[in-house]
Amino acid sequence: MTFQMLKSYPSFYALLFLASLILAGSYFFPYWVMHLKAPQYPMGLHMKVYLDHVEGDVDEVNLLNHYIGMEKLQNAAQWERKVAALAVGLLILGGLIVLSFSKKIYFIFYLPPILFLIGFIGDFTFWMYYFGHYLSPEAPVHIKPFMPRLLGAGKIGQFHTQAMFGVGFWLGFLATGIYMLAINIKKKLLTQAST
Amino acid sequence: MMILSRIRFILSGYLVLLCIATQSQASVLEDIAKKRGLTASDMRAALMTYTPSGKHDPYLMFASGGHAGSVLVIGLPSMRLIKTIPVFSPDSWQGWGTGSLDSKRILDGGGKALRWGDLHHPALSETNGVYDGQFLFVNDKANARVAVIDLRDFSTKQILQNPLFVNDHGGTFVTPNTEYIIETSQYNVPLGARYAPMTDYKKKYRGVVTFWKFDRAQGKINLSQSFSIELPPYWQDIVDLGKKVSDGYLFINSINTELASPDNMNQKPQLEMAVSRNDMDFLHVIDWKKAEKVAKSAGTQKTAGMKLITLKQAIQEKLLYFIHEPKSPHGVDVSPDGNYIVVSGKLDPHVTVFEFNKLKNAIAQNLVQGKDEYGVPILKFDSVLAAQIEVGLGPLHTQFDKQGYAYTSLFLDSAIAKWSLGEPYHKGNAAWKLLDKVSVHYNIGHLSCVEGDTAEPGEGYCVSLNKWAIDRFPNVGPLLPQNFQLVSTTGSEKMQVLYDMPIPNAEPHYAQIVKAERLKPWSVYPLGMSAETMKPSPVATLAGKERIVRKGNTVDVYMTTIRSHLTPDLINVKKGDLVRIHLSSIERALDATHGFAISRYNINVSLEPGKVETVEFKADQSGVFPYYCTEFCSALHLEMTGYLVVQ
Repeated sequence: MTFQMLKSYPSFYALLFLASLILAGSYFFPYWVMHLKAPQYPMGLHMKVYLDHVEGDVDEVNLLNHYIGMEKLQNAAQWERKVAALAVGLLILGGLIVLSFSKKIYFIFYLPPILFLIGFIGDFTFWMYYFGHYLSPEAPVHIKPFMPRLLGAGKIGQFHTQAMFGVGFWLGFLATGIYMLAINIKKKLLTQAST
Repeated sequence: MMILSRIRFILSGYLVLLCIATQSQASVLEDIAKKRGLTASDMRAALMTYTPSGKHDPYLMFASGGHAGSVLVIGLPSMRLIKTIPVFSPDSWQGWGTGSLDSKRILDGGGKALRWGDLHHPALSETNGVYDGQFLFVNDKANARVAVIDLRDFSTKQILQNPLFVNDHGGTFVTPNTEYIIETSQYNVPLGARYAPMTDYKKKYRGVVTFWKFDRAQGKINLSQSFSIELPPYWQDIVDLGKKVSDGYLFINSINTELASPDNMNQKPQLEMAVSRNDMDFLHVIDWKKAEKVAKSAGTQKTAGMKLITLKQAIQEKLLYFIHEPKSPHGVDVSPDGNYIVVSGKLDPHVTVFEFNKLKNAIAQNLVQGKDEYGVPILKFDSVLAAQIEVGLGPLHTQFDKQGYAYTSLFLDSAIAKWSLGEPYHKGNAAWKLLDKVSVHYNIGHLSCVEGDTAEPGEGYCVSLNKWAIDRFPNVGPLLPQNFQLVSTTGSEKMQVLYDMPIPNAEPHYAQIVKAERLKPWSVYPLGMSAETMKPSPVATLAGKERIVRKGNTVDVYMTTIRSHLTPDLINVKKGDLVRIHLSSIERALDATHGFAISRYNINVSLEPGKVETVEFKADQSGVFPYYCTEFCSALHLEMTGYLVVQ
């Protein structure tokens, strides 16, 4: 990427950098949040799932989960969490390099950010399923295997749960949108240049 | 127009509905009042004190628990008892002296044989004469001890015995920045708690005031930097510290300036007569900042391990003056601006007010009217007097509010008197005036008003700490509770008793009321904390690191507690082994406290989230002994148990 190129496609680069910045920023915000409420937790329990770790009342949730034989939350998505930073980095770097040097816009360029978000949802759903279905038979409280709610309100025992995507996910979503816009602008400029 | 009239019609209908609703509400209230026989002022009192579930009190009162050896924490205005803090006496709920090695070390610090105390005067730590909410100090009259309570976790951290005397009353009081905690002797003995026959009372017995140096960073009293001043063997009574203009001075009441000693089986008069004969006793005035310098100078000798300024030195260095104070004095209280010193004698119907500026002048110009028999100069009464106000019979203690009103407890009248201070609070005819009296039930001792002994008092409430309850509560046998009465003192309204709170604990003495927002307590301990040291514990254990280590005849068990299991849940030892169980609560949830009790081994400790405690015992009974969690912690609490097997 040279200064010449920057000069010829200023809005493209502005948007590309903005998308990269927002995507990088999303790493520091939770992608998914869950609030649990029960009579003996007037202040509620709160969990925030980031791309690489979980924050909030994790110990308390683990403690409650052990009564139904659920695994510790830390055991989920260990591999995914390890490569999360790398994936985001590759996505940004790859995007910057490929889009800057490519003389043509291919359909495949649109896919990585979309796949990234779909991948997150898919992987997350898988782990939700796993945690809800692989319960220790030794546990004092036997409950039917269940699929925890990915989004919206749910109920387990005396707990009312409310799950939603977090700020990080929506930042990722926004970054994807801006990225699309950037590609479209470059595509238009390339078409103009060739005619 | 049509629409407008339509709206008006709907609105008026709504208003009518609202009126009906409020009217029926009012009649419901009237019905309740009628049924319960409540007057309008009763209903006012109810409205002023009722605190709905989940709402917090704006004030907390730290009340001494008297000879129960504990401190009571009470919310105001609801008068709900929120906590007891065990200090000098064991408490099995909190595992205080019931098997925990940590609490045993603190209790033993005050004497291995002592397992109760007569707790009298709580004193909150102060910064610039205002409560800072960090520490609470208390004394034990029975054994001349002081204790430090940390208000991060509301638990006792240190108990110290005074090496010079064995009985105190004037404790604890703090200097305006909590440099020192004051303790004065009462029923005096020879210095260093040694022997001398009663016939040597005048010659060998001595009074003492001790300045315990408080190390705020460590949260502990530092004995080596503390010092004392020798006093004549009058019975030193209660203390207040100067503040603002009088900062640096200390005032102590005294009785028995007759120097009477007992022997009523051999024609000596009863003590209470012999010690009350004089019309005037001595208010002790001490320049403590000067005394601190004298104590730091090289000349000070140590007696029984403590730096002691002798009486002779104190007179020479002009550290000590007396002022006459009327009959059987008991209260001494310094006004918020520091300029007035209010004393009251139980057998004189006045409060007598001295003025600090005059006092300073009298010292500077050496306006003395003689010396006592130990050579202490007595300042001229008239040269320091500001006012004497007749308030009623048996005046004891005085507290203040932010508008310059003073509230004095009247023991014989069973009442509280409200009166006005002089300038700058009230001028001309409005000054030094008795304004109002309210009856209390019965035999009030101390009273406590909102931050009423500080440089910046609050307003609105006083609590009457009554010694007798007589007919206030249902009969529960010959031993009656005490009665704390909440009194409203708002503005210029007449004082009103709002609430009676029975105290079925022991005779409480003094109390301090602090704005709740000044306190910043922990909700849980940081993980792995020792409550004894308030530092990370060297024997803390994390989940997965539990172990049993045997070395010779000593078995160390590193155990964790979390809902709903104890790990390990089986301990095998041999009879005669020394067993130490290091318990770590690895809970992080608010209120998820566990207990740990072992059957037949006289052990119960409390494990609040994050706390580490050690129990130590000799396995001297063979057999199988369950241990279990004593706090109902979870649905599977009953299952939170294990076995100690002693072979």
